[in-house]
Amino acid sequence: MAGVKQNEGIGGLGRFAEPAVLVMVSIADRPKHGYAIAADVEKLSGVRLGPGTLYGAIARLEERGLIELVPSEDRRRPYRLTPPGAEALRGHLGMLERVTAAGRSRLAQA
Amino acid sequence: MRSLVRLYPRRWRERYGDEFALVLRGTPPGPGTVLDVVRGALDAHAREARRGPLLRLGLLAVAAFVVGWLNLHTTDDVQPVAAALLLFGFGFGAHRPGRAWLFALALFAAVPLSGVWADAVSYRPEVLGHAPLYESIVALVPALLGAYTGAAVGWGVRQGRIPADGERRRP
Repeated sequence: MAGVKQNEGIGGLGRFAEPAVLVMVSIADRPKHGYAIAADVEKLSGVRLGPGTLYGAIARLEERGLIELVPSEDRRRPYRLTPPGAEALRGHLGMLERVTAAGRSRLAQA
Repeated sequence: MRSLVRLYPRRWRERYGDEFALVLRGTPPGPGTVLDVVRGALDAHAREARRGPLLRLGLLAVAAFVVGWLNLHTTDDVQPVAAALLLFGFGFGAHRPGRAWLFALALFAAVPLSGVWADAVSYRPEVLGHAPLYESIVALVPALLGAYTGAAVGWGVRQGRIPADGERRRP
């Protein structure tokens, strides 16, 4: 089952897809713990992820093997992208770029 | 606010509880935060509820398939089928004693159903001539025996734990 979920990527996350992408973007450069992710996402996008939404997204991403815990003695455990997670994020951002370009282009023609 | 963590399933709290509490502590309190946590807890419970039965059903389907396969391929020797029914029945019965009868019936059903399926599609494995349908009723014996032996062990283990804890708690 875990293998199937890993192949679902970001698309199968339902209403958690957007928070999940924000979480993945936040930890794309270096591992961060939950609180740092929430702060970074707010700074980056202006979106404040509530704890329930944040950990709903983290649990789903971890279950799908897209992110993983970095071993730590601290209670605040950092997460990092896995190689499949980085690949899934690249694919998703590429799709968003195409949508953004098409949207801008169509708005310009209107 | 910290008590809201208790709304989440135990397994979830063991995994994320500490860090979740830290994030919750740093979040401005208010109805929006409470609503977000309650929604998250409902979601976690829904996911937890889906995980258990699905895994159990999947394992039961695999066990039933193995029993059916053995029924069609080891007809000359009933022992492998009986052993599989005993073993699988024991495992599922011990896991959920209250549902032992259901597991026994599901595992037993694989025997006549595999025979019916083989007849319907004219499947003839190398070992020919699976047992006649009426004879497959005998398979109920090891299925029930395994499931209820497992259930007795499962009940025994559960019952054994309660007094042991109780004794420890007494001053």
